Amino acid sequence: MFQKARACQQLGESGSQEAVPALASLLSDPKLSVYARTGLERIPGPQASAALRNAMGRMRGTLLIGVIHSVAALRDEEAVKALGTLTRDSDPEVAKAALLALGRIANEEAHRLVVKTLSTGPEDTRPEAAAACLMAAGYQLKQGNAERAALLYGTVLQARVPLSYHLGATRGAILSRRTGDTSFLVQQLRSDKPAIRNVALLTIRQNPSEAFARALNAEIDRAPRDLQIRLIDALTDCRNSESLSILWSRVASDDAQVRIATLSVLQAIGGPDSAPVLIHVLQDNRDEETRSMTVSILERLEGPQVDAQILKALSSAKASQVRIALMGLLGERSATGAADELLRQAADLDTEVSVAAYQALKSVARVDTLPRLIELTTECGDESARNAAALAVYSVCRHHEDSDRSARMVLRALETTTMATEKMAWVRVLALLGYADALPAITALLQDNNQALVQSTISHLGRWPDPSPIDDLFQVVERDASADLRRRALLAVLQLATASADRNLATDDDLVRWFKHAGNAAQSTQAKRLLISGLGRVQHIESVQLLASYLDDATVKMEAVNAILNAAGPLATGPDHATVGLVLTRMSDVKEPRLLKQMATLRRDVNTAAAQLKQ
Amino acid sequence: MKPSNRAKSRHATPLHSRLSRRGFMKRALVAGSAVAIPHFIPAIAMGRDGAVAPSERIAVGVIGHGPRGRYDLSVMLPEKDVQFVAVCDVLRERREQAKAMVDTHYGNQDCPMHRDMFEIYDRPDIDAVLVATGEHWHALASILAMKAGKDVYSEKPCGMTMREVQALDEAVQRYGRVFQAGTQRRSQANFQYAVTLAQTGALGQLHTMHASVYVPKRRYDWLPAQPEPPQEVCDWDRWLGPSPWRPYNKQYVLGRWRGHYDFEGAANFLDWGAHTVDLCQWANQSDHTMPIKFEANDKGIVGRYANGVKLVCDFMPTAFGDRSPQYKTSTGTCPVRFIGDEGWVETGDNGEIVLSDSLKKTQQRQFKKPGTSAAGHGRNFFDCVRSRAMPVCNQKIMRNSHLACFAAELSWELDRKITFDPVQERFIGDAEANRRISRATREPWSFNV
Repeated sequence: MFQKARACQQLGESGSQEAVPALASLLSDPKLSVYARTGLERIPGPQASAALRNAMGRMRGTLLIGVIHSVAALRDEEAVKALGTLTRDSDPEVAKAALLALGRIANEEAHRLVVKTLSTGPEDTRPEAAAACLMAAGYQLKQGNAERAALLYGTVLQARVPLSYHLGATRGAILSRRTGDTSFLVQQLRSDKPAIRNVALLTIRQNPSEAFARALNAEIDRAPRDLQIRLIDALTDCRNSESLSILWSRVASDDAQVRIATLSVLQAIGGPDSAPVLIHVLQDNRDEETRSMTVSILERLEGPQVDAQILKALSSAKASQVRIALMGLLGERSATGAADELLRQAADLDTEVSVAAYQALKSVARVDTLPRLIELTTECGDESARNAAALAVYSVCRHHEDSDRSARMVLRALETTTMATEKMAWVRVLALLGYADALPAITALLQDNNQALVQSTISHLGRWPDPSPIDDLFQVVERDASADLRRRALLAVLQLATASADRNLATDDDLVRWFKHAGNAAQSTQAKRLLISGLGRVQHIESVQLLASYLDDATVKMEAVNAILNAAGPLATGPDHATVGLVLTRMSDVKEPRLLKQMATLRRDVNTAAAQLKQ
Repeated sequence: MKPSNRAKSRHATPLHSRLSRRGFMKRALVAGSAVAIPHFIPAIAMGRDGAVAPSERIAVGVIGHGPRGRYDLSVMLPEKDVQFVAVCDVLRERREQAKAMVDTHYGNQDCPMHRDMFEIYDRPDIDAVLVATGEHWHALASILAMKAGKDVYSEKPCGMTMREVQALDEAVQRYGRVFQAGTQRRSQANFQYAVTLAQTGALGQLHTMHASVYVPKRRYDWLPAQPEPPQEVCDWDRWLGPSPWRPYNKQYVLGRWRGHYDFEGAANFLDWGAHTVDLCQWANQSDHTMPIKFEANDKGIVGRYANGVKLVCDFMPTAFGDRSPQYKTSTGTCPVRFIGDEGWVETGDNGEIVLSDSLKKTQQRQFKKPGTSAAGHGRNFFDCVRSRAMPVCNQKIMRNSHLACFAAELSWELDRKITFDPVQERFIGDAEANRRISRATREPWSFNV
């Protein structure tokens, strides 16, 4: 059986007409018939078709159905008459297969036969006649015979068949009128049956045309609200030059759902010419969802004209929320032409507006605006505005090619002001920049009488990008009268040293020295943890020894174990392996499996190093 | 006349060069979405805000509950506006497993089990079906569902032969349904991003695309005959469906149909190719067409588009392991690489984006989610069921990318160069190749419905 089956397949791939009789002889074998038909369907020439046609006359039941399907696959027009007879076969399944085959062959006579069955044939074969009609109509449509296709679709629409066939016919009927009269489409869009409206929508979305777009535009105006939303959505796929104005007219609708639907489509298809209407929506200051969608679209619209329109709207806007949204947009769009207007807005008395302006200036301001920006910062009466302004100053300095020049301007501002709040702002900027020339002026502030200013200065020095301020901070740790300032300075020292270890900004010797020095003052658990965390980054034997001194301190013991395992790794195989081994023996009460595993590895390395030394 | 890819690239490059990185990223992602992802009205505008009345939910039946079907079900069950209302499998054990999944999720015992898929087609309350059967049933189960008025999400490959995918596309159109092919990588952010880089000119002029595929393999033998189980336990005749008859063996129904000529088309090429070649089609903006020339060699199959772009299908012996030199092993399964004259991008299922040095500074992005989940792809399908828009892997896209795979594999099978006419969908002057476009279906089944 297998050999025969396989031979049939091979004959289908390479056999010639000589193989036809042998294959035809197997058509009556229930198990091999399909293999035989595979062979026959694939062998070129009229002999295979003739064999299948002949077989139609002598087969019955399921095997006959198979043969009919093969005849259909070959689109054998000579079989139409016989198939016509079979459409009236007493076996309804045979009749159905014959109808479908006629639908596939789709010549004039085949059309006549399926249409006849659809109109006057038995009830139980009509669905297949409808399917055949749809098949034939689809073929005609593909061939460019729209009128003929429309007739066939019309026949299905008139027939009493299940809805799915009507839906297919509706689609086809709309498409066969694709370039002309759209009244049929409009009728379907207005149908009270959701399935019909759905198929009409699907058809125009999948097959957009100018005529469909015109009909869709017109229908949006008269459709009930729920349908209107779906029609608006369909503009995403099917639209013409007038569709945008339809959207623009609805984008400010009082109905939130219509508004959101419209914005959603504009998000997909809107261009720069949609900017004015979108800006208008923002100015209307609607709900949060509308605002965020509008902002999101405006952020993505390309072109300097969009920046100009937003800027124009900003200069005339009154409501704070609107101005904030517009400024956010200018910032997101990096609209450099907006700097002057943003500086004007930054001076606003409304803190929220002022903060929004400074935030936008971060990506908009140029170095030539720096003097004004510094001036505005000094004028800020509100801390949040001052912070935002300082960050804008920092942003300008950081992005300026000659950052030293701009940093000098900030330093000058620091040196000339007498206000503690301003000094804090400038220290923050200079510390973020890590401007070395400013360090003397900043460290001098550590002696200031204003406690808040000193606290702030210590905090910013702790974030300096390199360890330069560490000695000045140590002085505070050791000498300041205030315990609070000593504590803050210690934390800043540990912060600086740890960051330096992470970034390789200091030698291991320096790091150990700093941590050792800091260790004398580290009494609180917080300070000890910071210290241990920093030491764990330094793979130096002194670091391990220092860490070992915390193994007896129950409050930080586990932190010390972890840090030792990290710091001691490469040391276990080197000349300090014995010290590492001693420290490991002090950790014998550790129970955690992960740590035990790490310790075992270290111990093995230590033993290996010791053995090598003996050799 | 459609602009050629070269023309599009020429246009795209200067545009890109004017944009800042941030601006480009935003626009690139929008461009990606505009090209590939239908835009949808937010749920709120459709009157949906998460809680959906049962009468408003999309009722879905699932046909086929092997590992893939159960996976799809598991990631789509959480969709709040969808209700899975039927499970169907010819294997009783799998029906029961699937019912347990659905019932557990909904906290009831309501989900009916069906052995016969026609019981699902006949249910007027079902809007859509998820087809996750064995490959030999995908096209026919989908076509029959659409004939019954259902929308369809079909696992890939969506057909076993060129003719099957043509018939599937025709049926989608004939019955006016929504169809999504389960090539879910189009819905994954990392693949979308890589494609966007190719489409927007960030790589310069695209000239070569690499699609990973398995080494083609097939077998013609029959497994030893075993006694057929009762129909209720395993309906062997229905399992065979349109495939030629052969004696029952339990291994087939448990998944070892793979590799057998009668149950798997194109010698396993589409296992990955349905995804990776599809992604290349997309990157080359060739969803409306496909390569016209194919030639196989020991390492893969090389295709050429009419616009000159090269499609290289690289053979991967296994799903995992060393991928060099064609790919970075770290990108995971199903890698693709798009190469332009200014740089290249590669990505795969682990979500990583690998870029040429020329692009690392400006275009590097991280995508932490693995590139395999079908959840977003399912969501896209359900959105389209509501809006009647075209899903991201609709029947037209599926048709061309699948045809490209079949044609590529055929050049391997015939071991020679072949030329394809994407308009007529025939091999040019090549009767031997054209004979393999279709296979007969076992009676009474037919794609002609």
